[in-house]
Amino acid sequence: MVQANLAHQPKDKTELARPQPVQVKARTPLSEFWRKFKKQKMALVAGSFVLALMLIALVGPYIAPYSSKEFDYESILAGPSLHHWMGTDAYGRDIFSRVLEGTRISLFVGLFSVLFGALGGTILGIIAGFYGKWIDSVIMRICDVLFAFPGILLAIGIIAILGPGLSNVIIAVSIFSVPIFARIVRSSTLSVKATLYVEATKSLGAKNSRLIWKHIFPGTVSSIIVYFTMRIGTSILTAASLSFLGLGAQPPTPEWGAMLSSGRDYLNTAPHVVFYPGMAIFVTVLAFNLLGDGLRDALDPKIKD
Amino acid sequence: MTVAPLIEVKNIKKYFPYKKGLFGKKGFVKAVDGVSFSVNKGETFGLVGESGCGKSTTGRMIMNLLEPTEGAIIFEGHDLGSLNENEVRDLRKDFQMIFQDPYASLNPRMRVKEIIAEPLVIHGLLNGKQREKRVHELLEVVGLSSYHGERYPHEFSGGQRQRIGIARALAVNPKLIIADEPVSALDVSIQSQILNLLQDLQEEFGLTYVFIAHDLSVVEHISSRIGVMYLGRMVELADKDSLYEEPLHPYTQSLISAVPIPNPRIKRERIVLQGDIPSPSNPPSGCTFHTRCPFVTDLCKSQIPAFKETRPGHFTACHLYND
Amino acid sequence: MRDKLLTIENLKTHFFSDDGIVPAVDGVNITIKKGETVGIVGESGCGKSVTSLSVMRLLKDTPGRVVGGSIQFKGKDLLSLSDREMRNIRGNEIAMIFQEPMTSLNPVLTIGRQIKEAVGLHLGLEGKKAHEHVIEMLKLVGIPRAEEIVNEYPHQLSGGMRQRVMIAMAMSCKPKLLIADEPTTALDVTIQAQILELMKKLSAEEETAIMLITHDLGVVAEMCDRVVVMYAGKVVEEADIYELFENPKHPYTKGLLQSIPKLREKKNRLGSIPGTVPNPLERPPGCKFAPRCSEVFDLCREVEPELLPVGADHQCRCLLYQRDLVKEA
Repeated sequence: MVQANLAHQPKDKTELARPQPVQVKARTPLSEFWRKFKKQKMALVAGSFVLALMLIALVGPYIAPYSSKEFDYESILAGPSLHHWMGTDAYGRDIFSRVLEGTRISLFVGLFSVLFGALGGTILGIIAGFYGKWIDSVIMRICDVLFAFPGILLAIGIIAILGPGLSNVIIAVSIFSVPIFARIVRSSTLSVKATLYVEATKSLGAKNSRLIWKHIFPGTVSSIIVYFTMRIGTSILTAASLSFLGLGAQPPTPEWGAMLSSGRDYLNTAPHVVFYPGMAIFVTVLAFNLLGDGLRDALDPKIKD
Repeated sequence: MTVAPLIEVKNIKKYFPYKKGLFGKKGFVKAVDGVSFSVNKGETFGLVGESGCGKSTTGRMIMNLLEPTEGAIIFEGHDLGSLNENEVRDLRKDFQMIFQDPYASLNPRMRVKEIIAEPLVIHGLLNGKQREKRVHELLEVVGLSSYHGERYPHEFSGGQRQRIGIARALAVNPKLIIADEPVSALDVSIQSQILNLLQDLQEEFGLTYVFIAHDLSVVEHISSRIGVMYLGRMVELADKDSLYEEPLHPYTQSLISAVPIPNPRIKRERIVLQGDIPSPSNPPSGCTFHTRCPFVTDLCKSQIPAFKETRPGHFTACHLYND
Repeated sequence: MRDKLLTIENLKTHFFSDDGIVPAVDGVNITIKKGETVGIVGESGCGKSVTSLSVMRLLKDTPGRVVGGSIQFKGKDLLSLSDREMRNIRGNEIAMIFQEPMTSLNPVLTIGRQIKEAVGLHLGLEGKKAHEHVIEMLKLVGIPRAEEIVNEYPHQLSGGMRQRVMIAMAMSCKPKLLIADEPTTALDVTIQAQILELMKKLSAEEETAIMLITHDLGVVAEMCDRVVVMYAGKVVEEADIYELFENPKHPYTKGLLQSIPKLREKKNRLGSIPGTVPNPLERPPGCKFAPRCSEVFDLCREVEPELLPVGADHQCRCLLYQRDLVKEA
């Protein structure tokens, strides 16, 4: 019966005074985000750099002037020159080409280890935060235990069990990313769960699955994105450290950490061999961190304008 | 009255447990401590009281957002406590709520049309085109336009957001709407727009309201019967006219006299209550109002006054009227 | 005529945001005389709070800045004082209380310490004397167990008690002007009644002028001698309290008065003002109230009316009462 009546207009039209469209441009959350993000010059630069890195990761091996496996015994440990922009290593391989190719490995390791870590951590964090009680206690205590280990030690331990290799590095780094994401997602789940709009949805009769998918999870996405970005930097660093220790990528793979490791013997005679891979790690990690900072400032609803 | 009430609240209680100190003994905050009333179809039942009186907790129990510690809520003959989860969910179509804070009660990440359609989605009503049409109708009904559906809540003013909240509540053709302080966060000129809208909708769709508020003038304006709560208990319940013409409970009397009148010529003798509202975690013995009551006797300190019909249709919980 | 205590002339306070300049206060004139209570009424965004913050020069941490006009307090131009001179006036001669007393009290200091600080700073009292003065002030604002309360922390007090503490702090230096920004909005009705009574009593005893900022016309009717109604950054009407309630001129004031439910009024429907307050970035040309006005005519949308006298001690910013001027134009 209400259906039929709905077409009927309220009596007092002037009173309701339909507001005219004042703003022509739509202010979607995305446009709001972009408005705030583009003000941060550092983050913009970092973001462009990250995009460039991704491009290099895709096409790096094709644009590299030399093959990463090409030995040139004529010029061993040669300094930077027009032929070899970053010089050559102990086998005469072109460092520039190796750094370019290494981008793919580092980004791949960074991205996937964080992806798996974020996936696991988000699921656990939402379960812990949403259901609370004993599930929460169990999950968070396990996370506490994992937190008690220094990250690199934990990774070394995991690799000791699984054996060295890049894929195991990914597994190791994922595992110690899980508790970090679990903790962050849990806390934002708790805050979203306490909002009035979640209660309002509950009052409509929504099932838990809907609450989680339509309301809780979207509410945690912004903090996941921020930490995701920042963790990529850290993970690249950890992966490089593990490779440096000989636990990750094995020579002759042009992984940055492995390159550092094999170049450290020539630190005094040919510093460029470690300098360029080192810089690559440094700049990449910095870019991800700056980007993450910028994203946080742009996504944080508490920071207005 | 011969008509059966739409909803009957029978002696509901809500105790929130809390722990004092690290190893301290457990206590209870008696947020609602034995409240009963019934609401007839088509009427507006006002629930007034100051902060901590339990009016919002009562509303949330009716909405099934909180489970009563004790007591029963009977809706059209069904005891809500005896229904299983699915039955309750089904029944929710008949109950909707409007919240105080129009900023917080709408998900900022959803478009208005998704927000309004959400109850339809949840209850699997209508689909596709029909659902969209319904959303547009609802927007029109609450005084917005269909193009507003494409926007996000942050693009609206407080009053407009409250209209969105009302449209969402109306989506599934409810019978009962619990309005928890629906206008107290709004500006004066917007308040009256929303109050008028609520009245229009009631007339048009035969809605029943439970209107929870702290503002006595607003409650008087919109309600037909009013219950006054103090520290988790109902102290007085009567139809609007007899409550405001002849308030019986000393608390109601002082509450009414405390309302500032927007007329500078009226200089009233006001009953200014002494002291603060006691904490509901440690309510006074006997009549909870005795610490501030100007007519307190020894009996009040020891014995809880019964909630009785003192005049026809006028209920009070006060020893002054129990002889 | 009593002496003028505070004269705000053509005050303009603008906020600078990414989206543009928000003229929060856009040419406001307010005069407060000694011992007088003036109500400043208006809805959110009308600029009433920004006006008070401008007087107190408390805009430092906001993107807002006073861009024009003057604020004279006892003959001194507050806007040209040094920060140090202003600090002396603030709390000493002009005190302020806010809506949410919790946020304006330091949570880690005892109540006594905080009032003592103010007393020491402005009255030069120290030690035992200061302590006694604090207790005396707390008793004056009706705080029971004042001797114990001085040693308690803000979170241990209820909202009403905290507001009393704020008032005690504000009044401890016997200011000439008390700016109260929605002092009872966060409080319950029965507590509000207590606080209002208290403010009335104190202002009568100490001859303190009060600038009462509120949206509640009931509170205004009860407390004020004169009322200033603001809309969209401007004063739209100013009158003696009786005049304003009995003979409102501006359509906005009329609308406001009609839209509040009054006890025992038995009205079926409330009057209301259609639409919403315009976005401060996109205020219409001409009269800012024109889009919502029930008595609007064409010229309203083009010409911005002036604030002009419409009676004894009654000013209004509306073209309805400025027909002569309109014709000339």
